[in-house]
Amino acid sequence: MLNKSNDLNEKQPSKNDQTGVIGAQQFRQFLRNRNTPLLIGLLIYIAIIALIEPAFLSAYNIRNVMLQVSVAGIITIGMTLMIIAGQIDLSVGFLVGLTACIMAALLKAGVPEIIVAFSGLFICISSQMVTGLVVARLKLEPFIVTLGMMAIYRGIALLLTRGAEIPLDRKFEFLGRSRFFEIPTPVFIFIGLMILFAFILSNTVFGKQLFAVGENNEAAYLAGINVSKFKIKVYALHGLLAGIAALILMSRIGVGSPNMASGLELETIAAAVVGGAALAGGRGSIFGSFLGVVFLGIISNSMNIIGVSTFWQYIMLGAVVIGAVIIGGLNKDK
Amino acid sequence: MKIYQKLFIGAGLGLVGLMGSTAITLAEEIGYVLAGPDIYYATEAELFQKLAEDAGHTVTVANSEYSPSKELANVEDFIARGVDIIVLLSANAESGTQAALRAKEAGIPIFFVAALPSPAGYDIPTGIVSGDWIDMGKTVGEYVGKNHPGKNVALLEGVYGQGIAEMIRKGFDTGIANANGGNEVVLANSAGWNRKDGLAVTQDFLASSKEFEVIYAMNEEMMAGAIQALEEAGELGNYALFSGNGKEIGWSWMRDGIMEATVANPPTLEADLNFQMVQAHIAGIDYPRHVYNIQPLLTVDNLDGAVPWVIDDYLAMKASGKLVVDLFAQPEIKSMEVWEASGSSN
Repeated sequence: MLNKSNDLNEKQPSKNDQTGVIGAQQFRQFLRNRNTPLLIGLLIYIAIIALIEPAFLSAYNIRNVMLQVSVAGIITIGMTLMIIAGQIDLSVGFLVGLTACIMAALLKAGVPEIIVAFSGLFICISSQMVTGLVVARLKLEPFIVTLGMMAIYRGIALLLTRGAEIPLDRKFEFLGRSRFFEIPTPVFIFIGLMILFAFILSNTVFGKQLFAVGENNEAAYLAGINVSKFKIKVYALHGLLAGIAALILMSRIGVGSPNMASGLELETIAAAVVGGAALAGGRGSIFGSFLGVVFLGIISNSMNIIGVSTFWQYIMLGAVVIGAVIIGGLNKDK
Repeated sequence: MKIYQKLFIGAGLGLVGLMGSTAITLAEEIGYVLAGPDIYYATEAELFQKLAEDAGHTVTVANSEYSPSKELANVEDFIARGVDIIVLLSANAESGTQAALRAKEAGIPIFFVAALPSPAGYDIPTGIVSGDWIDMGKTVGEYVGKNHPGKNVALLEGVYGQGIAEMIRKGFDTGIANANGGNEVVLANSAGWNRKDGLAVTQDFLASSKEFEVIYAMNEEMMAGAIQALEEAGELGNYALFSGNGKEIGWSWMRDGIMEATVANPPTLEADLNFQMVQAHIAGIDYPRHVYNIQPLLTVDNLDGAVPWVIDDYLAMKASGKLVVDLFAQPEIKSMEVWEASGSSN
């Protein structure tokens, strides 16, 4: 019971499945999967919006949505790892903002791009490791510690910038603005990281330990896992992903700004929860989080396309989050 | 003799001290409450602080982080501290009015800048310098109606709820109606005053099947996002672009032929008017109680007279005599226009 991953491919078909009525078995398995209601809901929503506004399914808009969710999606991977491990991070939005400001300032000072990129990753990883160290060693609530860190990151960023943007003057555009085969680079990075972490969660010892730590700290400790060290490792991975997101976001919008990623922490927590992650820990999946982040991104995009007020977007987003949690709860009870 | 000498020296020192303390009491302690960490607001506070400190006052700046309760607490803290004057850059009309009421009850003059109280509390502040946001929108609306008749418009609006975006929208709708050019707003949504959302919302608008030829972003940050979206879609040059606030980046877009016009709303000039108002109050001189910031339409033809946002450039322009800012030359506003909560899409 260590691995509670809910990916659609989580169960391998038995020999009977392969020789018997494979279609029916797999269909039943598909229906039982925790992500299925979300996938069906997403498809229904897409169909309705496409009927109202056919341009919604244009290649331009599909690329658009994927590009818009790629930064939040990358952070959602990290947030999913954190939530599965029983952690939460409220500071990530302002950490991304602070890191982007520092990187933009370095670029402005003429520091080579590659050094700037590694500095950004280093800042995010080390900051998250410090947070992880405080949470794990002092056994403090991550909610409170990361809330404090959020204020610290924000304060430093504002001290550095006075609230102003630091323009990149068209430097460092590759990561955020380039395309391969007409597909934006951030989308490739997002999808690539999703696949990589889905694999890690389903097929590695790290993945099994992650679920074990999130499910029950003591049981994990008794099973031989150094829980504190493991949690710091999770924070570091989350920091790495936040660093990648900061690089892409800064490159994409061409500035470093303290508030450029504010709100992303809640958006990514919501995406992970919509995708089936349990805030109590021990449950969640990368595929579910992918669906969650895409669903939330599509709501905002579709409302803009059909010309619905922002107020309705908030209501719709709230309804989807609550609906997904209710369905997730019902599924859990089955 | 020594005693007399000591008494004489002591009396002399006492007199110098008294003169010094008299000079100090002429200077005022000013509490400046800032709505939040934003470059517009930061520039307002920074220039005000510089001008006030050059005049011998002390200024303490508190930041409300866009929280109405924190804003009220900041004003109460300044009242408790016993400052002589409070300047309030409020992000919320209602809480700002409540804060102004507390200050008034405590007998402390309170000046609003870049903000308005609620209509019911219009008479509470000692003085007000604000943007004429309705007129900002109206100016652009009339220009669009006159120069792009019949064209559909997509709007990138600010944050709803502050009142500013709503007032600009109200003015814009009035402007296009006044111009009678048959323009219609076919898409409108909030892009949160920032570049990131300006980019995303414009991308969404471009993906929509609704036809539009004009994009009006209410500030230059959102316009920066819109320009990037157009650039990436290969559509730059196919739309008439308009923004608001008249920041330096907008000047370069107009010089490059990317954007057609913006309406100036420089925080530097507003801070200067605010400082002059506070000085007049300290000196006991009559002054116009409510004035608007000076907000001309900027196009490539009149950029030479555009007022900078950068403080050093602003002060240099003033020092050169090219810019004269006189509070007493501004028409006094006697009532405030009321905005309606909208945020409707189109």
